This record gives sequence, C-alpha cells and structure tokens, in this order.
Amino acid sequence: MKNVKMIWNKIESNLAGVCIFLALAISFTEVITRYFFGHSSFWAHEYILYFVVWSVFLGASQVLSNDKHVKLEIFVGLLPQKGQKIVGIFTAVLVVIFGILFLVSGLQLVMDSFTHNYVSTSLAKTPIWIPQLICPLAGILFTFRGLENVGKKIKELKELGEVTQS
Amino acid sequence: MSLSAVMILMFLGLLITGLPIVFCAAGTAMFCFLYFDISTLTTVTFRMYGALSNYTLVALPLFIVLGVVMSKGNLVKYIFSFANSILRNTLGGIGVAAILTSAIFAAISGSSLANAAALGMILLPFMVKYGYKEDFAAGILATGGTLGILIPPSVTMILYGALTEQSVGQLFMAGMLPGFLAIMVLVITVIILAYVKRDRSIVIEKEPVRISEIWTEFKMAFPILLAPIIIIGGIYGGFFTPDESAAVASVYCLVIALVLYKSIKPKEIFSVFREAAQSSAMIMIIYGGVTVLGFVITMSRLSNNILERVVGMGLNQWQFVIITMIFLIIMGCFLDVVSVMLITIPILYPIFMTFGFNPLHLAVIYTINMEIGTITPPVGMNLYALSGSTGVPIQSVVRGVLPFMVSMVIILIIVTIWPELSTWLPSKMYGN
Repeated sequence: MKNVKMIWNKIESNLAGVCIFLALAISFTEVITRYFFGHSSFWAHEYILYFVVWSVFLGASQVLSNDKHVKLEIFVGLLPQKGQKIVGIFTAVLVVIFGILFLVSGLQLVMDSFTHNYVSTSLAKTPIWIPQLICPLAGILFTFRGLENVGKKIKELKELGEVTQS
Repeated sequence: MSLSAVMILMFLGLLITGLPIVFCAAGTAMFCFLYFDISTLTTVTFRMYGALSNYTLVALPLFIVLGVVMSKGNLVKYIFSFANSILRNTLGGIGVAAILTSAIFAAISGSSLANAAALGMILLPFMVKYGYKEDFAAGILATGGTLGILIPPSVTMILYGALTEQSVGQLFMAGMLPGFLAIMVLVITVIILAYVKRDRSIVIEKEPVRISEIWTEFKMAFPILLAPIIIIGGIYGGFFTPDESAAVASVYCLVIALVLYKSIKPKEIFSVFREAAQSSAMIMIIYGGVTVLGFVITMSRLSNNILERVVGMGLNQWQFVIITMIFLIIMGCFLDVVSVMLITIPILYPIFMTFGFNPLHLAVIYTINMEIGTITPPVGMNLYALSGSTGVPIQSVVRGVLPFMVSMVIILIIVTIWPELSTWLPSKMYGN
C-alpha cells in the first residue's frame, strides 16, 4: 500500500509539473513562431488553458497530501493537542465528503458534455468532456487524500494517547 | 434563516475548524445549492472548471515558474551585489540596497512570499555580518518582500483582473507609480531608522566606492536586469501578452541560470516545474472555490444588502473606505492575503463601483492593504516565510517589521487620497 502511495505521489507531482511545463513551452513557442515564422496556432491558447486547469487540480491534490492548503489555524491552535487531532479528523472527513460530491458533480458534468456532444468554440473543436475529465478525477483524488489524512490523524491521536499513558 | 445568513455562518463555521479555505468556500456553496434548491450539484464543477479556464489566469502559474527560477537560481545575490557596490559605504546603504534588490526581484517575480523567502535566505546573513541587528534586517527584508505584489508583474493583480474582468496590462501599469512611491518611502524609512537608531554596530566600509568594482558587479547583474525589461517592455511594447512575457522571461532566466551562472543544474530543471505547479495550485484552487461561492453571494444579494445598510447609516464613500481598510487589515491578521482578496472582492467590488471608485485605483488600494496584511502579526505570511528561510525567531521579525508598518500605512493613505497615482499612467498608455 505504501509503495502504491509513493508511486502515485510521484506520478501526480510529475504530471502537474509536466502540465505547467507544457503550458509554458506552448506559450513560448507561440511567441517564437509568431515573430520568426509569422505563424500562430489556432489551438495554442485552448490547450494552454487545459494544461493549466489540469495542473491546478493535480497540484491541489498534492498540496492536500502535504497538508499545505491555506487555512485558518489560529483557533484550532488554541485547543489542547487531543482536541486539535479530533478536529483534524473531522475536517479530513469533511474533505472526503466533499471529494465524493465533487466526483458525482464532475461525472454529471462530463456526461452532460458527452451526451450533448459539446465541443470547444475554437477551430480545434475539442470535445469538451475530455479536458473536463479532470473534474471527476479531482473528486477521486480529493476523496483519497481525505481518507489518507483521516488515517494519519487517527494514527497521530493514538500515538498521543500512548505518550500520555506512558 | 436567509440564504445570506446560512452562507456566512456555514463558511465561518467551517473556517474556524481549520478546513482548507477552498473546501470551506466550495463546500458552503454546495450546501446552499442543495439546501435552498437554487442550483444543481453539477454547478459546482461547472463553475469551478469554468473559473479556472479563464485565460487571464494563465499568466499566474507562469510568473510563479519565474519566481521559482529566481529563488532556486540564487539570482538575487547578483542584483544585491551590484546595488551594494554603489551604496556600501553609506549608513543604511546595505539596507537600501536590500530594498532596491527587493524592488528589482519584484519586477521579475509576482509573488510576495517567494520574494521575502528568497531575499531573506541570501541577504540576511550578509546584513548581519555587517553589523545589522537581526530584527532590523528582518524588518527590511520582510517589508521589501511585500513589493512583489505591487510592482508589476503581480499575482494579486492577475487574480483581481480575473475576478473583476479588468485588463491585467492596465492593472500592472496602475501599480507602477505607487510601486515607485513605496520604494521611495521604504528607502527613506531605512535611512531614518539607521540614523535615528545610530546603530553603532552597523559596519560602514571606509574604502571608497570604485567605478571598476561597480562595473564588474553591473556586468554580472546585467543579464538578470534584462528580465524586467523583457516583461514590462514586452507587454507595453505590444510584443507579448502578460502570460507570454512570463513564458519568455522564465525561459530566459532558466537559460542564464543554467548556462551563465550555473546556479541551477540540468537535473534540477524539472523540480522547478513541480514546485511551481504546487505553489500555483495553492492559489488558483482557492480562486476556483471562491468563484463557486461568488455565485451564491450574487444569488443572496449580499452586496446589495450591505450597500443598503451602508447608505442607511449615512456613510459616505470615504468613511466606507476607511471601515473596509481596517476590516481588511484585521482579516489579514488571520488569513493570507490571496484568500482575503478572493473572499472579499466578490462582495465589496460592486459596492465600491456604486460609490464611483475607479477599478484600477481600487486594485492598488487593495494590493497595498494586502501588503500590510502580509506583514501583520499573528498570521502575516511574509513574517513566517522570512523566519522559516532564515531561522530568525518570529518575535524578532515582528519587532523589526513594526516601524515599516507605519510607512506602509502612510503609503496606503497617500495612494488612497490621490487616485491619479494609480490611474494616470494607465490612462496615458491606454487612453481613458
């Protein structure tokens, strides 16, 4: 299980990095081709956006795993250690619930675009459901990261109990 | 209970549990959609995906890549060495050089946090070596770091542009003169503090400044000094869009860091993108979540209700501005600046517009408010970034920052009273 988690962490962070790299590379290439070859791609802006959106959701899952999302910590910090851990479990469960609802919402969005055959407004006419797949995927990622955090916090709570007892 | 009341209570309730802001915002919206039957569950992803697919935002991760290249490549130290070679034998000269270095770094990177952390790591040991007390040096560097979000390019301005549908190019220009004003005021503050404190421990080099030394340092810093010219010149010369300028400047800085300064190794290149992906995701995902909540805010007519109350209380626009600023600074004590901006803009922007404020002027006022927020204890992010990167205790950083907060408030007052400082340059360049 640990190995699977490690491999997934690597894939996820690398994929987020690749998306940013591709967005930058396309944007840079656009400038070069426009000025040196007088040519602009009709698909560039659209695909840059897709890569940025994918990197945001993949990156957000990574940030969730590292527990670095921006949050208000000052009030929870006032609680005793045990209370902090319990509130931590509660918020991690909320993330799981959010993840599941986000997955359902994302699936509905993708199905809607798929069944109505929505395509992008640009000349590329990309079927919109393909880039939108990141939404249900993000739902799955948030759910798993939430579960991972629930596990972590329960373990920390147990360890705290053992330390207090000894 | 009304929609507004449920929304506010639920959002605040979730916030104090320490749930990440993005989930507080999107979760509250989700609940309101279903409980009040005002929309469907699909709206959540539809709105979030749509908000993030805003082309204005593309510049944000690309400028963050640039900031990461600057930090990882230690490029700041060459700018500082150049500035210091000119100012080193004046009292407070190193401090002034640090502020000027911050300003140049700010003209390349768009983030205040990256700015403070990178500068702190490199410049603080140098300043301490030359007799600067840790708190004074930390105060200079933490405040200098805030210039990152005012001087173009600026992450805050990009987000404001995306939220309010303003041109990022014009917003960048609006921050230019207030940015210069901020540099001037901070430089004067450093000089005054150095003189007033008569800090005898500060070592002033007796050796006169030599042109040959300045020339050598200039040659070393010159390739980096070209980066802001590429960005600003590229955007306003009509060569690039803001996101393209970030891409070109990122590639340029990456190449010079790899080839010329050899401060980034080829195998480290990919880590730049991984780091940038995480840093930009942290900001942009909040934008996505808050946009979904923004839909509920609009449905709840919260802005209109606040406006009616404000008018009912007989407040004029300036009284409203003062109350809002105090409120924003207090919020900035508890939350990071990006979140404060993203949460409050959808509610307050329509009210400011009703009062006849210029959107560019408002952007600058907001940004300076946010700058003050980044150095306001107990949560000011720059304080922690600097403390984290240098090991200086947070209390010392706070002590050092306090006199600079007064300067920042003075800058805020000047910029608020004279809207022309923010609007003159964009109107000259883009017309009215």
